[in-house]
Amino acid sequence: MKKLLRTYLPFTKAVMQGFMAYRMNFYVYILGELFQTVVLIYIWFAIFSSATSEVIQGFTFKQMVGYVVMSTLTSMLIGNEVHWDISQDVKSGRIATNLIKPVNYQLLKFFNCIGNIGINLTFLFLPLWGGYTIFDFISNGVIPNITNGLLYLVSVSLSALILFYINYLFGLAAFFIEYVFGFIFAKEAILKLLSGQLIPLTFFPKGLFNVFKFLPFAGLVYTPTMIYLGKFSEEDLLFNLGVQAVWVLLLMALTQLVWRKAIKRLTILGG
Amino acid sequence: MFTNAKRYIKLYGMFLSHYLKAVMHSRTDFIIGFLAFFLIQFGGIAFIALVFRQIPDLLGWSFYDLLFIYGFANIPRGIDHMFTDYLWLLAGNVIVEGEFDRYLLRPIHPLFQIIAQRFQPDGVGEVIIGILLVVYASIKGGIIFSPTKLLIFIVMIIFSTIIYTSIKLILSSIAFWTKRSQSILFMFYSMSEFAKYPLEIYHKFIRTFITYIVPFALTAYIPASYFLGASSLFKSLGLTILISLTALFLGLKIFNLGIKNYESVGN
Repeated sequence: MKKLLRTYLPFTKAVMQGFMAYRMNFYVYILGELFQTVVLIYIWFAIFSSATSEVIQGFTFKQMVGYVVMSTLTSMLIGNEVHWDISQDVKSGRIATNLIKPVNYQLLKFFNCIGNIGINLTFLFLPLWGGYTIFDFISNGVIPNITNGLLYLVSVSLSALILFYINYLFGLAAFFIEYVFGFIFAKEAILKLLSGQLIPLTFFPKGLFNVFKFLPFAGLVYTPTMIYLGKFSEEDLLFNLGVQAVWVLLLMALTQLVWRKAIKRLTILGG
Repeated sequence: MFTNAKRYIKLYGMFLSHYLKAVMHSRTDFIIGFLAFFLIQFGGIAFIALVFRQIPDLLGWSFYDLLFIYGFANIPRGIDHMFTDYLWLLAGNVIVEGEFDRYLLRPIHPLFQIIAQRFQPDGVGEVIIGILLVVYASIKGGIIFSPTKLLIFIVMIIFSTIIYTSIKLILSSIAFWTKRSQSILFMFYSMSEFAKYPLEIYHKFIRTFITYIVPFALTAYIPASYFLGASSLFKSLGLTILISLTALFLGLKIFNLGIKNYESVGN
């Protein structure tokens, strides 16, 4: 274990150091992404003022704001750059130098990903979450529930793993297609909807909801957010955590399979 | 003047046909890009549809009104995306890598070369979904397009596109001073999100801001509200033309100033 950390921790550190150089840019980008959240909150406000009842699909307006904030924060927290990195590695041929190093490529990317999450946690999640919690306490008198908070940590760890594997798979797509940019954009659009980042999955028609809750995407944002807000019954909680855990294992196996296929296709020009 | 314009049009045609040939060469890329931007819009539409299962109308706006505005927003955005995508690169690495030098060497205006440099077929997906939504919402919502109205629609789309292009031009030109400006461009470009829904839902400050400062409201809600019977032609079209021309003027000025200020990174 110690040897493993000594070998791979530098890859985490490298990501963090790279970040420190571009910190300003990072915040400007995040500000752009936060506009979408602001728009969402305004729309929900208009929706709740137009609705006949105070509760829509089990959410009051204040709870919906909580959902929007926590789902945004969750997706920010688990975000990584693994898919872009891998496609860059493949395109530039740099992957060859990675392959001849005595390190495991997937582990290397995993430790990169930990770096991404470390950055997200320190520079985004904690300050924004802290700000929101203080705001929520002052204006609504709400104190976060500790049990829910701890369960959230468990669930969001699984979310981070699921996203790592999904992005790893999409990065490997660079072995098979050239236009990864469009491919990744499409992935992000689908994830946004199916992960519950845009709207709680309960808003979907019952038939669709019953399918979506079995998909790995629900485990990305919807599950941890609902857990944090304490909106799951005990039964729901166990079911959703179970789905997350099963997908982690399935995706882990799938990445190995695709990797084996991908590496066979690799041709590096020149050297 | 005229011979000059003719020359530029002819040149653009040559660039474009060259590009289309390249696009046809990698048809899978085209399909992936097309689908990607189609799907991105699908998310927003699904959101509106899901929400309207819960409420009869949104502050007096019907489901089809919202679809119309959302669809309208995508048309100028997509057209601009098709033709001026290179501005994203100008804001990215073009200056740092010294690539801009070659545009200064040729006897054509650098801005023309930048625009002609790249045709981005991804934008086609946005335009098509926009048109489909506008047509669908018009039929279902009972908006009748007379020939005059159709003409007005096209004129509005042109000026709305100019707004997109001008905002991108102004922000990417900042790179002449700062070397890179992609993050700032992305941040301001993201404000176009606000334009996809009726302005009334926002705080007054935001409304003023996206009408006059970063005028994305003029790329969707304000022109679209004329067709929805919520605004007069004079106000919708007049404001759109006035502000888009101002923005374009500013964009060109800043770009030209930027070139004067440009110092090659050399080698």
